Formats: sequence, structure tokens, C-alpha cells
Amino acid sequence: MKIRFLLIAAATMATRVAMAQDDERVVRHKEEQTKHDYTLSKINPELLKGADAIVRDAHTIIDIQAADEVHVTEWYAITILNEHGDRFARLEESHDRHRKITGVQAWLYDKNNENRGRLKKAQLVESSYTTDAFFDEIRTTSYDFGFKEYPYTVVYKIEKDYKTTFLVPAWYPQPGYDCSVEKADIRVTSVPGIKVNYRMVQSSITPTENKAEDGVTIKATVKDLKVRDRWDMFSDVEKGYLPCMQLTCDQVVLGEYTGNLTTWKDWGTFVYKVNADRDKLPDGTVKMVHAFTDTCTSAHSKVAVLYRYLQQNTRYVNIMLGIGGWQAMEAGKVAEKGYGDCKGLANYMKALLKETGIVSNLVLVEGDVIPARTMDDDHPYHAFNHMILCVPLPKDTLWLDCTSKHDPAGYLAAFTSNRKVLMLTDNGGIVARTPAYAATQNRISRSANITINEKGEWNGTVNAIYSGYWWDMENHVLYDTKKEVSDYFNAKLQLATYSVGDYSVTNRVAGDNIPYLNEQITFSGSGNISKAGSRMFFSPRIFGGVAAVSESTAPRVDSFRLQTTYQVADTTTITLSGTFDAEKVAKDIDVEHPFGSFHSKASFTKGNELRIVSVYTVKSGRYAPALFADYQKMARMFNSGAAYDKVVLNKKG
Amino acid sequence: MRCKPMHYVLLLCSFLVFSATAKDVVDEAFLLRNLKAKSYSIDPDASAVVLYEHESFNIELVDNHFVRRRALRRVMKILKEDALDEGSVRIYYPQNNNASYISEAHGTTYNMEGDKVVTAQIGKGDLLRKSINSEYDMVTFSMPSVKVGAIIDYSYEEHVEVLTSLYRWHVQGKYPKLTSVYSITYPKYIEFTSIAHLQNKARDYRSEEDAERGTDSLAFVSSISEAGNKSFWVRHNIAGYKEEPLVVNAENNKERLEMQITGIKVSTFPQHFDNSWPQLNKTIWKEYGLGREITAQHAFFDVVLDSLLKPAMDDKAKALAIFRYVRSSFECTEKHYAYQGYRELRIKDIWRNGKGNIDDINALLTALLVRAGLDASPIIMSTTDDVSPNKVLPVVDRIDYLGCVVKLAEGSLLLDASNKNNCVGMFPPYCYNGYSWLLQPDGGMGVDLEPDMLKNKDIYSIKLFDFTDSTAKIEVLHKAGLIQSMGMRKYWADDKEARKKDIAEFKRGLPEGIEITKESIDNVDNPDTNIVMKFSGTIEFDKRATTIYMNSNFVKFYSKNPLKAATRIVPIEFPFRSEQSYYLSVVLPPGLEPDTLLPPAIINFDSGAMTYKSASSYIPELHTLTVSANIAINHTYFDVADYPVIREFFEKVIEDNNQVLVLKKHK
Repeated sequence: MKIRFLLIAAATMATRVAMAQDDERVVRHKEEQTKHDYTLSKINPELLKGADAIVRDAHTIIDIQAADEVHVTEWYAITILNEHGDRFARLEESHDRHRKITGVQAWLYDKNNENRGRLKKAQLVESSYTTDAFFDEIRTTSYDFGFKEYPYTVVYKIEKDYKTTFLVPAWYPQPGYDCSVEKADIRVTSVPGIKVNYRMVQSSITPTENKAEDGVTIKATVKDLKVRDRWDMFSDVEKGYLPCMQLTCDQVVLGEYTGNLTTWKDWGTFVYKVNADRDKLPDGTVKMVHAFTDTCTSAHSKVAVLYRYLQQNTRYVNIMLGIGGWQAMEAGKVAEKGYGDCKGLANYMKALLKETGIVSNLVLVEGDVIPARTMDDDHPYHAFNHMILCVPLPKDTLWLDCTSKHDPAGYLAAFTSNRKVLMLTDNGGIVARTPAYAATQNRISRSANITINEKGEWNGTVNAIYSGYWWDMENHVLYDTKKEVSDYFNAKLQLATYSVGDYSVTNRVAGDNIPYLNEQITFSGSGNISKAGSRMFFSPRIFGGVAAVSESTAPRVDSFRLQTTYQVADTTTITLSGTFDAEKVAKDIDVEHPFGSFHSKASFTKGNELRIVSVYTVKSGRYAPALFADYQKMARMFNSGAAYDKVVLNKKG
Repeated sequence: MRCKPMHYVLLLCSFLVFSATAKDVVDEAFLLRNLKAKSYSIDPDASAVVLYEHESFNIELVDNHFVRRRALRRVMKILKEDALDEGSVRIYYPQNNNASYISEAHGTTYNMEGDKVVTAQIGKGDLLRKSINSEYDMVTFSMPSVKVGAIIDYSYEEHVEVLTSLYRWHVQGKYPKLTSVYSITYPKYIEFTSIAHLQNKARDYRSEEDAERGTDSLAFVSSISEAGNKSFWVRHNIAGYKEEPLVVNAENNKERLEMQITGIKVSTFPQHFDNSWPQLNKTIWKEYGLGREITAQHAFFDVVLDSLLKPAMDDKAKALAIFRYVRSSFECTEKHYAYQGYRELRIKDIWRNGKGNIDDINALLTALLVRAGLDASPIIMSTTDDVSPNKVLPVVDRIDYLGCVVKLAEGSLLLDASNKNNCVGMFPPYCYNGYSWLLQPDGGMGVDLEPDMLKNKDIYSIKLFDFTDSTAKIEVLHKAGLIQSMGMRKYWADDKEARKKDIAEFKRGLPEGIEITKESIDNVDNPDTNIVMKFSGTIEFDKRATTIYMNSNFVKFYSKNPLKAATRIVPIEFPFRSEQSYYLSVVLPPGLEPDTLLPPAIINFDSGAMTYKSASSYIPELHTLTVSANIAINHTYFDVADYPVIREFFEKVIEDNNQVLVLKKHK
């Protein structure tokens, strides 16, 4: 009896607790509902212009308890205006052994502010996160209400624990270009002993910092952020970033490694430490190094030989396990396996050089054809996605991208050239700059010699030399299959119909380490000429344009940046069978601007020879927005073949 | 069904003889010979060659459930850098409560160093596993020391507690193969039916070893043992499949063999035969209940039907009203069921939720039409992602789309309401992949959905007028065909920037000297009409010139020949028939006249299979010069033998498109 009473009492108690909890949930939910009005009635109309979604309110709390303990809570309400905005309603949170999701809640409200659903934990979908890596441990927790009555609002609350301050997330109040923001704020708290550095990007707000005995609190609030113009290839790199607060902590823990990240020097020290003492080579490899290099007469040649060995005997495979995103695979393992990622291959190459007595430094870089975000000298920040090697020699500095199978030693492709980098030395990090190349080094030089017979049949040869940046773009012809190269050349020339006969491709490296690719192509065709009476019309255009052009027609507001200095020099000579008067040939072009020039001259001589010489030059740099229309005009003229306007000839006799 | 150069063979597997064990092909002589090789005559240009591969399936009944064991061994020679990634192996396999796994994974890389053969092997630590999602896991490993000249030799076994119905031997792949072996062993109470799409007829052998050692292009061994029935094939010297332009369904051109389970004769296990289309109809319609769902008395439809349908409407008008309602009102996830999924389909749930996948939406549409008293049926098909269906044996794993067909007095109306931008009266082009099946209570019927049934007609109209001494006004109109309009709407719906890009590209294609100041696009939101793009602006001429030269075709049907290669291996295909018409009208000012008119052109291939014509005229009384051109591609499939002539056809079209109009100023 007593037991039964106790059981009933316990059950009643449990029920009451459950009800109280339910009440609390209901109350909290009702509070949510009544506190926030997610209808659009009172919204600033400026925030609706061009927007697919609007962040109504967002709170981010980052609580740094220790170098290996960071709690992050994000709460945000976002109203989705149309189907293009649905992507902002989807939850996709990545996690791995360093970052764990400890809680997810979500609610759905319709346009009348009525609650239409709530996330149940069982509905969360777990899957592997897609990255470029061959294998990694990153996973994604995702959810989608799948609601389609616009506008609607989703509210998320996400809690995550980070085991390292090294990966403290940046704060991005504006989740996308097409998403405006009513209000968002952040609060960062850190315990004494851990200093938090921050930097605002693309934002003029000034966070407040409050120091107290129990730690420091940093706060920032943004309001009324409108949709942003999309970044284009001519924008300053910084413009490509949405407003954010970059955060770093001076004390970090990564696996078994601890460090300080106050300055770039500190950064370098820490990453150097994480990657130190991983350069032991197997005996066989040591013997090989000496066999290859003991007879070399210069350090330069040793580097070149070993780099070539690396390129021929290893391949890029990115396997990220543990702190593998930051720590290179041991050199001995790379030697054994014959593969590694950028860090592993760079570290391996460093070990090979060390064996010959040559000192080199691992270098952190942000690799991308569009130049990287510029490193802020005053605010060290995780701005890297790649690692290369720098070999300072007495007369020269050789840069090596150890993931490249084709670059000559000392040459860096557009992916890593012309930018600030962080060199890791035993004395800490040093901010350096990778080489930039001149127009004469980033050059295309093309010549075409063509004859047209009485039947209108064309026969010609093209001789083209690509160097530097253009070598990067073109060198695939060295390694593609014959069919691929043949198809490529058959599509490359600007003639409407032609067939490629023989072709040859050769590669060489100049004394300044710049690679040169030489293509020689013979081709023939017919049907590129039309006749009307005594007139003959044809387009003398053989070569295509390569200038970058923006599709936007709106007047430019911000300055524009041209990324690469280069030059394209073309000569076309066409010899006809018979004698002609030239009724029309292309007009001369003479355009000069601070950002470049375009010169072209067409001449018809000897009654049968047309010659067109064209030189197009671009100078990298940052230019005033008022000049952009001129740049576009010049680039379009070049690309459209204005130098090769249709020729009209009258046959004599 | 169009004629294909390979043989379609249907085989019923029979029980016979014995099986032999093949000795290891990778011996010292094999290694030395192949490590020294720099190229292979089967394709001197290949980046890699599969020297040997053996894929085998073993189906067993264990503790009352089926276990499928798949073993693969592959030996490849790496000849060029772009094949180095073949050394990184990813194995995806279906997962079912952690019962599936990969085992016996081995990998060895062989390299020649001097005169020595050097080996490197994968270790246990090289095998990495992770879960991809709730249905699939993945195991990966990267072979060591893979470089140009190496031979990689890897193998593994996959144990899966799932019985799939279809087993495919992908005979032809990216790289050429010297020897490919495929086998399947299964209990005697399972019946398989095969479809072979192979270059050669198989020669029967009594032993597997003899079959592998033999020189026949294709050999076959059938045997019986305690393990069950075994079918064993060997194919030698298979060319790699090379991508070519103007191919709609590449899978149709590749060699393959498929075996499908068409019966299981075990008393405690339900028999399941889908060895004919009528049988499949019965399975889907009756057993899976799709017929019941479609023909049930869904009274909840009536309120909507009453609002949509007017008494004066004929059947076609009713069908269109219902179709447009479903198309605009229901959200589609753009996925589809594997065909067994039809048993999960519930019309009531789709109606209530307002959403579903492609099959759900079209099943709901069919049910609504039936409720409205129309003769509507669902139709199942296989899209061009996969091989065209076989008329005799339905390969059920390939069925990936369900549409709707309404029978009207004037003919059948095809309807697909799964995308807001699908056009009435047709399915998307990728559905026209050959044989399909109309599901009906009385057994259904086959329907050929061929690309020739579709036609897209584009019209371009250019007007030049109001000349000054250096400019003229220009108006450009492009009326896109219905199929192209459908594609444009879908592309623009997916990508906000796409519309701007398309307009920019169209303007870029116009001749130099044209500045567009006004543009509009009509009918974007009406999926059953043509999109019409209109541009207006000015065209500039040199003020000082006494002669004006103008392209005769401002838009150019083809700026370059789409068929560039000198030779071709596979037939030429188009996704639909097409016609493009171009009209140019130039109202000349006094003092400006055409110097010469263009000669008319008529180009005809294969008695109208492809046609091109152009003409120009000048009406002095109206000072109006006109140019017209028309190109029509009236078939969607052309044999390889026609390639040189078709290539020449395009060359002539381009030549004519490049004609120049000459206008002379007279004082």
C-alpha cells in the first residue's frame, strides 16, 4: 500500500514537473510569439529593396572560458521573402572533433506571426560535409522547414562548444548579399588571462570594450544593413567580404600545442611549432637526395632537381584528420606514401632541401586566382588556405608551390603570386610578399601567316608564345591527350570553319624562372570568304580576346582593381592570290589610359598582302571609378576583334 | 525504336556445368611487360589502361535475409598525370543498421626503378571510413607511390544486407580495358533475365580459365555448384568511351550488360516477377496500390474542382484548368521515387501537405483529372540520364519519372505539373528517352516518347529605320520557342543573376556599333507561352563613309561549326527538332541603296532532314531591303556515316550567315 502510494506520489510529482516544464516551454514560446512581431508591417522599406530575406533580430554570445573551452550561442530570426531566400532558412551547421553542437532549437512563423511548427530533434539530418578534401571528419547537421508561403520567419537557437580558441568563429551579422539586417548584436566575454583581439571588416561600427575583474566584454550592434552589391572581379578584395568582426585570442590551444597569437610573429611561432620536427627522412630517401644533388654545382640547381623529383614522384591527396588541417604529414610518411596535401608536400620538400644543407621556410598563403584578402599588419588573423615553400638563396629567392606538378622552380602561378604571405621561421612569423610579374613576363605573343588561294581556301600557320600568367592558362596542352589538344586547337582560332593539321608544343624556362610555352599550329579551311560581284569580304580575325570584362552596365561607384599586368601582341599576315584594291580595312586603334593601352594598325600592301599588328597592355593596380567605363570600352574593343574588322577588297583585272 | 549498331540480346540464365578458378593474372611476366609499356595499341593516347578487372557478385540467403557480397579487383597502368587520381579510391555502399561493411581491402603499387620492380602497399591505417548520410557509408584509401608509369592493383569486398534487383556490368568506361571479367553467383531459386548491349556475340566456354585465356572478344560460362548458379563473362580489348558533342544520351552508346531479378521461387518468400511491362503494370497498379490511389473517390477534391470547372468547358479546357491549378499550387521537391516507392504514395497526404516529389505531384494531377471524369493515366518512363528502356523487359531500377497523359478526342495531352515552368502539352526534353508505359487497370500500354515528337521554333526579327548620316534606329525581337522558353524560365528561377547574364550574352552577340537603350522581356511568368525579348536602340555608322557594310545575319544561327572533329565515333543526336527563322527589314533613307543583293541559298541534307535557305530583296518604291533566312533540323538522330555531310552542311550555313550587305550612298 505504502509503496503504491509512493509510486503514485512519484508519478504525480513527475507529471507535475513535466507540466511545469511544459508550462515553462509554453510560456517561453508565448513570450517568443508576443515579444517579437515578425510581420513586415513596421519594417523599414529600404530594407526590403532587392532583399530575398531579412534578419529581424540576432544575438550572438561567445563566451571564452579557457584556451580550450569556448561556448557559442546564436539566436536569430530571419524572415524569408521569396524562394530565392529559402537558402537562408536552411540550417547547416558543421561540426567535428574541435567543434560540437550541443543544442539546436527552431520555430516557424507564418506571415501573420502564427507559429506553424517547431523543430523536433529527430528531424535533424546528419551527413558528411562536402569539402575538397579526399577525406575529412567534418559533418553537417541540417534542417529545413520546407515552408513555401512567403513571407515566413524561422527562428533558430544554436549552441556550440569549441575545444580551441584557435577556431573562434568570426561574427557575420549579414548572412548574404541579398539579405538585409534589421538588428544584430554580439557579446564576447573572455576570462582574465585571455585577450581577445578584434577587427571590423566592411563596417564602420566601433565595438565597445569593458574590462572588469572577472574578464573583458566586447559588444557590437548593427542596425538597418541594406542588401549589398555583389563582389565582382574588379572589386577590391575587401569588398568581397560581408561585414564581419574577425576575432582572435592571444592564448590558443590546438591539440597538444599551446601558443600566443598577438602578432604575426607570434602566429608564425605557433604554426612553426605545430609543424616542427616532422622532417625525418627514411634512409633510402636520404641516399636518393645525395645521389641527385651531390654533383650539382649550385644551390639553385639542387633546388630545381629536388623540386622536379617531388613533382614526378608525389601527388596531392588531402586527408584531414585531427589537427591535420594545420599540421603537416611527417616527411617520412610522405616519402613512404608518395602523397600529401600542400602542408605535407611543402614540409617534405623542406626536409629534402635540409638534407643538402639548404634552409627553407614554410609559408602560409591564401591561394586564389583572384588575389587574397590583404593581411592586416596590425591584426593577425586566420587568413590562409594553402602552404608553399620559400628558399632564400644568396642571389635569388626561389618560391615553390609543392602541389604543382608543372611549375618550374622559382615560379609561382597566379594562385599564389603577388600577395602578402606569412613565412614561418625559427624566429617567428615574417610578413613577406610573393613575386609579381611584369607585362613582359605575363605575355602572349601570337603570329599568323596565311595564304588564300583563288578558290578561297585558307592555309596558314600560327606561332604562339605564352609566358607567366598565360602559361598557367595554356599549359594544359602539354599534358592533355592528343584528342583533347586537337579538339582544343580546332576550337581555338576565330575562323568559322577550319581544320588543324600538324601541331607542336614546346616548353622552356627563362633565366628569370618564367616558363614559356610555344605552340605551332598549321591549319586549313574554306568558306570564310564571301563574294558579291567583284567584291570579296572576309574577316581576318584569327586570334581571340582575353580581357576581363564586367557584365554590369551601371556606373561604377567604387574604385576598380585590375589583378594582373600583362600584354598581348598579335601579328596577322594574309597573302591573297591575285591583285586587289582595298575598299575597306580595319581602322587604326590608338587608345592610351593609365590602366593600359590598345594599339592596332592594319595595312594592305602590294595589292595582295594584309597585315594587322595589335598590342594590348593592362597594368595591374587600383583605379578611380570614373575610369571604369574607359576600361570596359577598351577591353570590349579588344575582345570583339575591333582590330580585325571585316575586310572588303575589289579584285583588279 | 531507333536502330542501334549493337545487338540487343535477351538471355534467360540456365543451369549448367562447373566453375573453374582463374590463376592470378598479375605475375612477374605480366608486371615486367606492363611496367615497361609506354603506350598501348588499343588507344595510344589513353591516360590509363585497365589491364585487368574482375567484378563478382555473390547473393546468399543468410538467417532468412539476403546478403549481397561484391568483390572487385582492378589492375591499372597509369600513363599520364591526369589519371593519377585513379589511385585514390572511394567506395560508397548502402548501409542498413551498420550491418554492411567493406573487408579484404588490399592495394599494391608497382613501379620500375632501374631494372627492379619496387612495390608499395596500403596498410590498415590507410582505410578510412565515414557515414555519408542515413543510407550510405564510404570507405576510402589512397594507393601509395602512384606516378606516371606505375601499375596499381587493388581489391576489396563489399558485404551488404540489401538485395538489389539490378546488376550492371559497366563494360565500357573512361579508359580502355584489356580484360574485364564479370560474374554473378546466386541461389538456384532466383531467376535472372539479362539485357546485353555489347559489340560482339558471346562464345560459350566450359571453364572460366579457358574463357579468360581465350582470344574471343566476349566469352561466357554458365555453371552450377553448391553455391548456386553462376554466370561468368569475359570481354577483351574494350575501347574507352570518348565524349563527343551533340550526344543526348551517352549511356545508349556504351557497352554494358544488365541482369535483373525477375523471379524468386521460395515458398516463404513472396514471388516477385516484373519480367514484362504488363506484369510491372500489375505490380504498380494493384500491388503497390497506385491504381487505388488514383481512382479512389477523393471527395476532398470537389471544392476545388467546382471552382475550376465551368459547365461550358470541353474536356481539353477542363484538363488545362486542372493542370494549371496543380502546377501553380503544389511544391515539388524535384526528387522521385525508386519505383517501389509508389507503394508509399498517398494522394490525401500530398493534397493536405501541398507538396510532394515529381511522382507525387503528377499522380495527384492524374487523380484530380480522373475525379473530373477525364480519361487520364499515369505514365512511367526513364529519363535520358540512363539507358533508353527496353521494349520487352522493363529494367525497374531505371524508371525514374512519372507523368500524366490525358486522352482527348483530338489526341493525347501530355502533362507534367511538377515544375511551375513546365509547359502544357509536353514533358521536359529529358523525358523523351524512348519506350515508356501508360499505367492502366487493364494492363496498360507502351508509348514511344521520342525526341522527334518535340519541336522548338525560334524567331528573330530585326528592323532598321530612321537613318541619319551616322546612325539608324534598331529594333530587335527574339521570340524563343516553347522548349527554349521553358529552359530559360527554369534557369532564371534557379539563379537570380541568370536572366541578366542571358540578356548580356544576347546583346554581346549582336554586331559592333549597336547600342541598346531599352529592353524588355515578356511572358516570363506565363509558362505556356513563348518568351519574347525586345530590344531597341541605335546602330552607328561611319559618317564619312560612302559605303556601309552590314552583316546580313545579325544574330547568326551558328558562329562556329558545332562539329569540329574530323571524325566521329557515335551517332549525332539533338534533344528536339528545331527551326530558327530570321527576318531583317531595313527602311533606307533617300540616297542610300543596296549595291548588290545577296544570292539566294538553299542547302538541303538528306531530303529535308536538315534544311537551310536564305534570300534578300529590295523594294525600291518602299526603299526597303529585306533579308530572310531559315534553318530547320527536322530529325533528332543521324547515323555516324552522315557525319561528314552534316559537318559540311553547317559549314555552308556559316558561310552564308557571313554574307555582307553593301549599302551605297548616292548624292
